[in-house]
Amino acid sequence: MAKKRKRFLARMQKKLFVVMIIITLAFGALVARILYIDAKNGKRYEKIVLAQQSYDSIEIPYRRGDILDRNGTQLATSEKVYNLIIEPKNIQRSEEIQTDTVAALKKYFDIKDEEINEALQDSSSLYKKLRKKMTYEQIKPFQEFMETKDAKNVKGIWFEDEYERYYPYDSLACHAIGFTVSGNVGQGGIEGYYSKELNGINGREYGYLTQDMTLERTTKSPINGYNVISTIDANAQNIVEKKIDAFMSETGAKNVSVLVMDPNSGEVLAMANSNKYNLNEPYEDSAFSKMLDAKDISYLLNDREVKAYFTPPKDQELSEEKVTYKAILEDPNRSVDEKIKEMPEEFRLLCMNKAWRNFIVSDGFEPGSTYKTFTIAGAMEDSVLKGDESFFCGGMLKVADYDIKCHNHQGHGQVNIEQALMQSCNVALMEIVQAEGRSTFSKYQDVFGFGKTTHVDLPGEAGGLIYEEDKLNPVELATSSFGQGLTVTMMQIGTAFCSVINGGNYYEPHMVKQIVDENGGIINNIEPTILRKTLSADTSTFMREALFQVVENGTAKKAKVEGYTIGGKTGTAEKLPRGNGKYLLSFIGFAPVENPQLVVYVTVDEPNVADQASSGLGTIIAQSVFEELLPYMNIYQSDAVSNASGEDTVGDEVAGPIFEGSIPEEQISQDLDASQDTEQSNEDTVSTEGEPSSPEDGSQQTGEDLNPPAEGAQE
Amino acid sequence: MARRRAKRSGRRKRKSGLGALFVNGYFDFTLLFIVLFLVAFGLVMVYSTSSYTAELKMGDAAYYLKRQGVFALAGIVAMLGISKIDYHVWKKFSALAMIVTVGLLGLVLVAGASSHGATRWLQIGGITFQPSEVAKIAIILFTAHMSTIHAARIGNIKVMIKVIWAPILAVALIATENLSTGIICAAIVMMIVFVTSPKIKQFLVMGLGVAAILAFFLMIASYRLDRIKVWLHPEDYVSTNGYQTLQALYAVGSGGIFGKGLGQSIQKLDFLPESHNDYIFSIICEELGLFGAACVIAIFALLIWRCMVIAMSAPDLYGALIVIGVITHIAIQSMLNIAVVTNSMPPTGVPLPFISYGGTAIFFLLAEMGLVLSVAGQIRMAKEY
Repeated sequence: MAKKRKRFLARMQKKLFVVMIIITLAFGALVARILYIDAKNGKRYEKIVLAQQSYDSIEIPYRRGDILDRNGTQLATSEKVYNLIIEPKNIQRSEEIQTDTVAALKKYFDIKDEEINEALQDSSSLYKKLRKKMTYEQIKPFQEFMETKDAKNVKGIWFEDEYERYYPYDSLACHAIGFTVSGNVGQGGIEGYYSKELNGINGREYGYLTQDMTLERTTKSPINGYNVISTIDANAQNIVEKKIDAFMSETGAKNVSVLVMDPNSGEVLAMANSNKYNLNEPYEDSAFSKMLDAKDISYLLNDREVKAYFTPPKDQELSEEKVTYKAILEDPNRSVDEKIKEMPEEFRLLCMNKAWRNFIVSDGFEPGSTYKTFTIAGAMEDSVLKGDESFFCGGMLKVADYDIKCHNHQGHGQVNIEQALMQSCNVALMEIVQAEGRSTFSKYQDVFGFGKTTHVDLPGEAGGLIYEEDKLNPVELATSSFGQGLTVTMMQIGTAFCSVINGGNYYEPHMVKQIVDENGGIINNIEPTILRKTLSADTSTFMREALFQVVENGTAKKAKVEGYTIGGKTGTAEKLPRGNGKYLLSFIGFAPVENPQLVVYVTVDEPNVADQASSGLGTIIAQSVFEELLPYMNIYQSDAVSNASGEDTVGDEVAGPIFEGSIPEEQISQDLDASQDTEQSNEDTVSTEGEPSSPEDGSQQTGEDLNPPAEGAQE
Repeated sequence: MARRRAKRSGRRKRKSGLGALFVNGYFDFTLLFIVLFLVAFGLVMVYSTSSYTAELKMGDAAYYLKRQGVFALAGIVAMLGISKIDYHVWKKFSALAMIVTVGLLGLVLVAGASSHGATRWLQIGGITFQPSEVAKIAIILFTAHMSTIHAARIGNIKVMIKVIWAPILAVALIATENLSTGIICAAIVMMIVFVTSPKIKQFLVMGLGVAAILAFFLMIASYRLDRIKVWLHPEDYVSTNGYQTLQALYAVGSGGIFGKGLGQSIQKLDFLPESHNDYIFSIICEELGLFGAACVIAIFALLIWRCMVIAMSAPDLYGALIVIGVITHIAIQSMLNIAVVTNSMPPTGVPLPFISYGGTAIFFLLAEMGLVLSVAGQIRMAKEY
C-alpha cells in the first residue's frame, strides 16, 4: 500500500496495557467472588439444592387382576385406558405450535374451542386433563398422525395410562363377581372378597441420592394384581340365567334364585338371581329400572324396606318429599322414566342396594319342606330311625296344645320314611322329631351348618336364624322339622344338601379355585376342604334313593329329565304373615342319582300366578336347568331310566295353612349393607316381619322368647 | 515457530484484482486454538445443561446441542473466511454498515418479535436474529475507522464527538430495549476512543456522564429498579424475581472446589430456568466447581491477553483498534455475565461469550475473531516490539 499507514503508537499501547491489567484484576475479583460464595454459603446452598429436589414424582398404576371362570373365560378384566393430558405452557411456546396443536386437538379428539381456550388460560401449567379413559382405538389415529411430518409443530400432548375395570359379559354372574368402585375397591362378590389379591402395588418413578450425593432417577415397576380363577362355569351360568330370564318374562316373580354346585367339592358352578344388573354400570338407572315396571311395581311397593322407607317415624309426619314420591310411585299412569326422574336420592340408593343384593348368600328365608331332607337324614344317622318305621298321618297332629296340620288335610294315611319324604308329610316328620328329641335335632342343625355362616368366599353372608336347643320346645321342634320357624340361606341348604348325597362330606363351599400371578404361576390353590362328616355312607345312600323316589313317584315328578336319574325335594313355604297366599317355592335336586355330579337349587319368591302354592314352579325351573345343564356337563345318561311322565296332578304339598307360627327375627347380613351404604344398614336390620305371633299361637311364641341366635355373620 | 512462518511470508506479493482481497501470511494458531477450545467446551456445557429440558419439551436431548453446533460450525467457517480477507476492506463498508445497523435497530423497536418481555429479535425470511449482535461488529469497524482517520486530533472534544456520534446513536437505540448490550456497545466505543486519544481526564468526566445516563435509564424503567432491590436481597424475593438469582447462587455455592462432576448438576433439572443460556456459568460452577470456573475465567483472560499481544503487534492503528474493540466486547460481556450469575451486580440478561446457547451470538463472535485473526495475519516482523 502506497499510502503511509497510521501506527499504533506507544502511548496508545501503554493505555491498552493499563486497561488490560484492570480487566485481569476484575477477572481475579470474580474468581474471588465465587470463592467467597463457596466459603460463606456453600454448605448451606448444597443442602437447599438437595432439599428442594422432589424425590418422588410419577406413580405408575398397577393392573388389577382378572377374574376368570373355571375354563379361563374372562369375567372381569382391567383394560388400559388413556387420559389426554395437555401442557398449556409448552403449547403456548410459539404461534405455530399453538395453531397446529389446537387444530390437532380439535380434529382428533373433537374438543371444542372454548374448552381448549379455557385449559390454555393457565399458561404456566404443564398438566391439564382434557379427556378421560379413552381406548387405544380412540387415540390411535392421533398417534399415527404424530409419526408424520405434519405433526412437527404439535407439542405438549401426551397420554397418561390408567386401568379401567371391564366386564365383558355385562350382567353375567353379576352377584357372584361384584364390581369395583373408586378405582380398585372391590364391592360385593369375588371383587369384594378377593380385592386384596386382585390388587397389586403401584410402581413409582422417583429420584434418590447416591452415596456421593448425586441425584439418580429410577423406576420401580408396578406389581400387578393376581388373577382369580373362579369355580363359576360361564356357560352353566349363562344357561341358568337364560332359564331365569325366560321365566321372568313369561311369568315373573318377586325373585328367582338358582344355585348350582358340584357336590363332590363344594364348588359353586353357577349362582344367579333375577335382580341382575350390568356390572359395567352398577350406578346407572338400568340397575334397578326393571323393579319399577308396571308388572313388578307391586313387589317393590310391598317390600319390607320400601314400606319402612314410607313409614313415618314415631310421632312424626312422613316428610313431604316421601309423600309426593309415594304417590308418583303408586300412580299406574306414570312411566318408569318419570318414576326414576323424580326419585329421591335415598330411595335411589335403596333400589340400587336391592339390585346389588345377592339373595343366595345374604338373605335368610323359611325353607319349607326341603328342610325335611335334613330332619330325616339326621334321624337316620342317629339311629332314631331304623328305616322300616311307618307313621300314620291323619291330616294333623296335636303338639302341646296346638293342632298342627299336614298340608294334605285329609291325611296321608300309613306312610313309611321314604313315603313321608315322597308325600312330604308333615305329621310323619313331627313324629320323627318327637321321637328323637330336641337335643338330637339341634345337634343335626349344627352338623348341617344351619344358624351359622358357611364361610363361602363371598362378602355379606348371612347365617340364618334357628331355635337353639333350649328354645326348641315341642311346637318349635315340630315346626322346625318341616322347615317352618327357622330361616336359612340358599348357600346353607345347598352346601348341606351336597353332603347328604355325596356320602356325608360337608365341603366348605367356595367360589374361587385358584389364584395365579400374571404369568400363570400358581399363588394359591384352593382345594376342596371337608369341614366335617355329616352322615355315614349308608345313610347317604338311603337318602339318595329316597330323594330319587320323590322325583320318580312323589311330589317332584315335574323335575324329571328324560334319560337321567334325578333326585330332589320340593319346598313350599308360606310367607309371613301367613294366610296372604304368598309363597316361596323351592326345589333342590341332584343328578345322576348313582353318582351325583350336580346339585341344582331353585327358589321362586312370590311367583306371579294365581295359586302360588300348588304351582310347582321351583321344580319346573330346576327341570329346565337340569335338562340343558346335564348334557353340557358331559354327564352320561343313566341306564335305569324311568319313562314315567312328569305330567301329574300331584302338586307340591300345600293347599291350606299349616300352622301360623312365626320365625325368629329375620337376620340380614350387616356386612353387605355396611359396605354398600351406611344409611341403609340401619333400616335393614330392623325387621318388620318378626312380628308378634297371632293370638292363638299361645305363650311359647311370644316376642320375648324369640331372642335371635348369635349371629355368625362373616367379616 | 509461528513467528518464523510469519517471517517467511512477511513480504507479501501484491496480487491484482480479486486476489488483492486475500492475504496469505502469518496465522495465529494460538488464538485459534483458544477460540476452538472455548467453542467446544461451550457445546459440551450446552448439552449438559439443556439435555434434560430438551428431552422433556422437544423429545430430543440433543435438540439445543444440534442447533448450537450448526451455528458454531457456520461461525467457524465465517471466522476462517474473514481471517483470510484483508481487514482494510471493511473501511469502505463501515459507514454503510453503520447506517444499516441503525436502520435495523429502529425496525426492531417498531416490529420486533417479543421474547422474554423485551423486543430484541427480528425475523427475516425464516431466520430470527438479534440486530444488536450485528450492531457490535458494525460499531467496532466504524469506530475504529473513524478513530484512525481522526487519530491526530481526537484529543479535541469536538473531533471526538464527530467520531462517536453515530455509534452512540446506535448504542442509545440498543439501550432502550436492552441495557446490558447497550453498556457493552458503549464500552466498545469508549475503549477505542480512549486508547486512541492522548487524554485521560475528559474520559473520567465522560465516565461520570455515563453513570448519570445509566441512572436515568434505571429511573424510567421501573422493572430495572426492582432488579436492584432483588440484587441486594434476593432471599426476600424467592417466589418472584429473586428466584432465578437465588437458584443460580445455590448452583454456584453447591459446587464446592471440584464440583459434582460433568453432567451431574441438580439445579439444571427444572430449577434454574435458562440454565443453558445466560446462567450457564452457574452450572459450570456446580458441575466443575471453583476449579473449573477459575479455569474458564483463566481461558477468557488468556484469550484477551492474546488479543492484546496482537493489537500491540498490529501493522497499523486501524487493525489495532479493531482488535481492541473485539477485546472489549468479549471482556466486558464475560465479566458482566459472571458478575450477574454470582449476584455481584443486578441481574441482566447477558450471555457468556462462546459458551451460552444462542445462534446469532456465537456466529458473530466467531466472525469478530475472524477479524482479529485477519489483523494477526498482517503482522510484519519488520515492526519490532
